[in-house]
Amino acid sequence: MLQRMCSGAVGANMPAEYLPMVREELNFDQTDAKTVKWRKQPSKAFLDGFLAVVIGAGYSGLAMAAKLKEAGIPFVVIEKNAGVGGTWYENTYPGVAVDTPNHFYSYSFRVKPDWDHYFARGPEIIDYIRTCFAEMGIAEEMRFEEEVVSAIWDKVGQRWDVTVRRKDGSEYACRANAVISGTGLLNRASVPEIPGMERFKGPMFHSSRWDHSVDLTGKRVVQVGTGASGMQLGPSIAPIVSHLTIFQRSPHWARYNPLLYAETGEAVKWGLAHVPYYTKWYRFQLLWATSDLVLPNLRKDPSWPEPERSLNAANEAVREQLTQYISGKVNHDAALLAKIIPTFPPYGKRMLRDSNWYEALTRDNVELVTGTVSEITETGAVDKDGVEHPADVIILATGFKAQMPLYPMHIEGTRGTIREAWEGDNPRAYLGITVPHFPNLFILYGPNTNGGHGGSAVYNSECQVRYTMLALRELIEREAAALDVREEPFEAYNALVDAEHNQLVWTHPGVKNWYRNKGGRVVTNSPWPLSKYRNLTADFNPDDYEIQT
Amino acid sequence: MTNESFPVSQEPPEYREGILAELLREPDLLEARLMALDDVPMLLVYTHLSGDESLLQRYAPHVKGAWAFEVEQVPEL
Repeated sequence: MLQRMCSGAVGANMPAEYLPMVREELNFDQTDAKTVKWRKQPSKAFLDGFLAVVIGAGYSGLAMAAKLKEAGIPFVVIEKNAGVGGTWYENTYPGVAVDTPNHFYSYSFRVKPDWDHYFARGPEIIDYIRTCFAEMGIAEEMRFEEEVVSAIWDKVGQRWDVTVRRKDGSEYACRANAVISGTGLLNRASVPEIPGMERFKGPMFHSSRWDHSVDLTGKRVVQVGTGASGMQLGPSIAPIVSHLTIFQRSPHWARYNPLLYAETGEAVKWGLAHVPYYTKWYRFQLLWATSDLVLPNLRKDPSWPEPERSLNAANEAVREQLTQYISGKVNHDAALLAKIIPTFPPYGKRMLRDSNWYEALTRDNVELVTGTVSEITETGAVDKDGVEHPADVIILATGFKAQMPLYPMHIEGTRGTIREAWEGDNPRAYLGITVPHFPNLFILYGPNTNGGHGGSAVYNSECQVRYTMLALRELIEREAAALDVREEPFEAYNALVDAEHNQLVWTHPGVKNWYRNKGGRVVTNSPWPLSKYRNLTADFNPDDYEIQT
Repeated sequence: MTNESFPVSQEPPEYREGILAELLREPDLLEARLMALDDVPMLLVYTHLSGDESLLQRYAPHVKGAWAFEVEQVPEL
């Protein structure tokens, strides 16, 4: 019956392999299926001597901390900021909002019925995270305004030696049995090295480090970058600046959603709060609509006759629909359309939501410049043709070092550093979580776990938290010292990931995106449907690991 | 409409003791509230609570997608 209901909900045949995921998500018996329970009670002495260090107090780090607390495993959370929220703490630029519906982009174990919006603004999300944090009862374990500088595995003592830097610059050391990174992929700002940057006389800052002391009213602003942040930012500041020059390296596809700026309203809040199972079915619908529903659109059809512009018939239909939509939004301006219609297939880069972006480009005070900034002068930014665009303020909406997870921490395992293991920008991990020769290191939202086709990063993160808890249970119940993933399953898993990616849009030769490293390998995105990743991470196989006692 | 007639609780409604009796106390207000909600989740709620799949079988062929604005309107629903 569940399968029939699910199929009915999404208007398609829901494959049976989804049912374990659906049962967990719907949580009919009010137990969090992702909670890991002890199979045998661990010895108090062993637990008392155990410490897990969680790095970062964003969505992932807090979920991890909550589960550690629940299991009674001692831990501390090292957070470089003064508060929780991670990405949502740091990104405060005008227009910042989530582009995944927040009724799904939230913890499965802490559903919130009274979101004001379907796509929450930054402040509403940070309020939610703070509320969750307060309810988790983990304040004592938090270490705010401290930053992990390094973690070095002590082969003899079989512990991580972690060096932490306080806000005042002083450092202290701690020894940990396990290190769990919740720093994610989109945290460290990617600031381009543009000749002349140091000469600019006005304020210049990255979108994720917004300088609220700078009043943009009446200013000439240059915005560099048109990705997810830039597309929200530009339309938000265009009405108040005197002139906005936007540098676009390459365009994105962005689609319309009527709920993007809509308020939920009292009726929906009431339904979510009062009608039994309404929230669960509503959330399930979002899960499907925003993720695996679209995955077939991203798959290359070898027989498709126009592979340079689309991947398959469904992908072509999306292209035509979006092209028609965009054309209408810019009043069929041919010159502008030539700049903003991507040549690559839809979904080749992250599919964005049209946050009034296209309308903003038609404003008299907005100019879209294609290509990179070749130079920055004292008074502006120079384009590839040598034209200087005057600026009082320059905003770098240039994204994050997504190909460099764990940057800039020095992480050293049994055979060298993580950067050496990953050859700089080629991060790989088993299930996106563990890396050979880095015992008891667990990465949340790590390599190849970003939901490029959609879904919710929070969902994937919860899967990784469960897997990490299963691993820690194995370690602690055995009273073992270390779990080190074996080379064979690690290599086999990554071979599967790469093979799958070869069938998907992100390896399309016409696409440049932040999903790929310099060598062209997709290093950030998961190629899997949510159900498959859930199934891969729902169990822990000790045979995949060398277990050291 | 206000929420005054229906007390707010952090507990999910499906786990709240006496939730159905609570809702049915003011049937007119309840009907007005339910009419404002999305059709498809409500269809699933009905099926879930009643175990009756007949409405699901009848209307499922008209459900084209998961979001309300992508779903074909079925007047009788």
